Amino acid sequence: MIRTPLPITAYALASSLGPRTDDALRALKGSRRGLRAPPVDVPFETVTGTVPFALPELPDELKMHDSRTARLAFFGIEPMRAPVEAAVRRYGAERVALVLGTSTGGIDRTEDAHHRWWEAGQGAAPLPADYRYHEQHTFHSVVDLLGAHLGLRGPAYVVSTACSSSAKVFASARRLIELDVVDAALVGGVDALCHTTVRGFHGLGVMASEPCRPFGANRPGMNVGEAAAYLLLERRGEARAFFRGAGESSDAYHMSSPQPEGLGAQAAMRVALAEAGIDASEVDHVNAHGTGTRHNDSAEATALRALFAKEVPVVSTKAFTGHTLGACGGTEAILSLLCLEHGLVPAALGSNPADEGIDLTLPESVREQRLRYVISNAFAFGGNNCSLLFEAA
Amino acid sequence: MSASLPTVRLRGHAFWAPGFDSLEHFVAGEVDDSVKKPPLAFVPSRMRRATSLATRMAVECAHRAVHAAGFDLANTATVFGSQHGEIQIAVDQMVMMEDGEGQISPARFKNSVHNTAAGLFSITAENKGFTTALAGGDFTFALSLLEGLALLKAGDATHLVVVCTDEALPTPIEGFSSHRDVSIAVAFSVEGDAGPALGLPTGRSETTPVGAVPSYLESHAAAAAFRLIEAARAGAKGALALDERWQVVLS
Repeated sequence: MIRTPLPITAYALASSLGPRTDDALRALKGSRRGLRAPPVDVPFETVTGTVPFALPELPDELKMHDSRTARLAFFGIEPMRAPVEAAVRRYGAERVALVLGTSTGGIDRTEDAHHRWWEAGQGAAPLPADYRYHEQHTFHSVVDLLGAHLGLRGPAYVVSTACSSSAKVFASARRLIELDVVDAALVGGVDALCHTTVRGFHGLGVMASEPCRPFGANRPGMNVGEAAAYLLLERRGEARAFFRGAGESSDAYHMSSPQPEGLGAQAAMRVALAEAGIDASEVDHVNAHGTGTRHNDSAEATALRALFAKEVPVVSTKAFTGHTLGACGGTEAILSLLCLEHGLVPAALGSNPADEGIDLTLPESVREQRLRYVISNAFAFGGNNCSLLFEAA
Repeated sequence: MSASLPTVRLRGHAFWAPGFDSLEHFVAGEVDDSVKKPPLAFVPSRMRRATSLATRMAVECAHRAVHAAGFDLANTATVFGSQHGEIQIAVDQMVMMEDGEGQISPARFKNSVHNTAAGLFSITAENKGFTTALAGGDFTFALSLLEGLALLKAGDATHLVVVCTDEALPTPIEGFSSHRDVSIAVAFSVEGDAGPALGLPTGRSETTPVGAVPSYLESHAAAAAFRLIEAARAGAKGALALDERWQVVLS
């Protein structure tokens, strides 16, 4: 079924590449990574996509939601306030949905409260007085925070399917617009670095102690990152780009390893193409999921070559930002839109020489190139896949 | 698009909580002390290892709802709603950080994501289609229903199970909610003529009272699923308040 293109009228990214979207564009153009020391003290060496700026405190009326995730979410939303408020004036507060992806919520607050409680003798002391589980930790807390700040009264919820979370929100929001539930939706994702994710991926044996090299030979693994990424989808409006297709599929294979031939990934990409009514040969660039781990990159490379000619440039921008987990779908959607708007394909940092069996074009340097269609992939634990297709305005 | 939306009908349900193996036993208050764990007979033991009670309840209920409705496991879309997700594993991992070298168990970590149940369902059902995992605070079931029914009405699936699950909060955060371990699943399809038809959930009319639920379900997001199933079983028509904010019209 060919879907009606949806205008993306505004977007904003706060990430390890800098506080604002223009910083990310400069990093792409300059082939500059945003990988550095993690913000949490962990008993092993690693580098992470840590934001390179201090996260301001929340205003007094929202302090109840305080967490690293909430501060990043709040800081990142500032450039979106004006376009979202304009959408509220145009459609009404009930007609603007808020659908965000996150995999961490504000878990860092519970980590901190739990640590202090543990140090005090596991129950000999109460939890810290400023700790509020519902308002700070839960997935929904970030939606409550932003909904209150922006005055939104439409459907508001979190999609939390690990690393595909903030890709799937595009499909959810589009259905709400198509079915006339709302006229606009603020979508995207936010995840902040915390002990759970940094230590968890280290425990899985996939964390790199150096910058990641997606698809590269002898690649060392992944870098976890953090970001707040927001996009405004509207029924009508002045488009910076168009959302054209979303494919959602399951591997039905393994909880943490991809199906080796990338069959689920292929299915997701095929649906995204079908929804736009275009052929794979029309795609100009792929923003790959490309975590930098051995199995994920191998499966995705196989899937990509099943659909696309070798000449299509493939880049994993996780080499710039780290893997922003629940925020990566939104983050990489925005990086894809920057490529569409500014006519560029980033360098595939660290990807060359490619690993044996990786038969992809991984650009060694940034290219100026007019683009019309870009696919952005997001694949997650549980074999949960989502591919997004965007078209230049 | 709204003029030609397909009719969606409620086709079946499933319920599991410690002591209650079915909704009928739960409503009758017939506690069976032998009902301690979801059986998950269809899940190999190696895949059950390191999963939480929340995931086990959710996957058990999803499979049961598919069977109750007569659907095909491989062709049923699923929405797994949960307010708190894998909170037990999250806190277990925080304990691991305090012990020894502060390492997190990889087996626990890979089952720590909110979509663990969604992933385990897709694997055990050999289902390569749509699944998702949501959180919507107190309104988690209503919003999961909105996500799922939108999928059907937009033509992206024909058969659907919406599951709402939460386990009790673990120490030391148990004081933040008194809700208990419950999973409820509801099956829907765009085919067939049995079962009440449903519109998309909408903002609630203040004139519609929110129905009471058994005390076991108080403060649990699945209370809204219980209200929906009970209304359907009673043959109710018209607007049904799912919670304080959302309603759905049955016809």
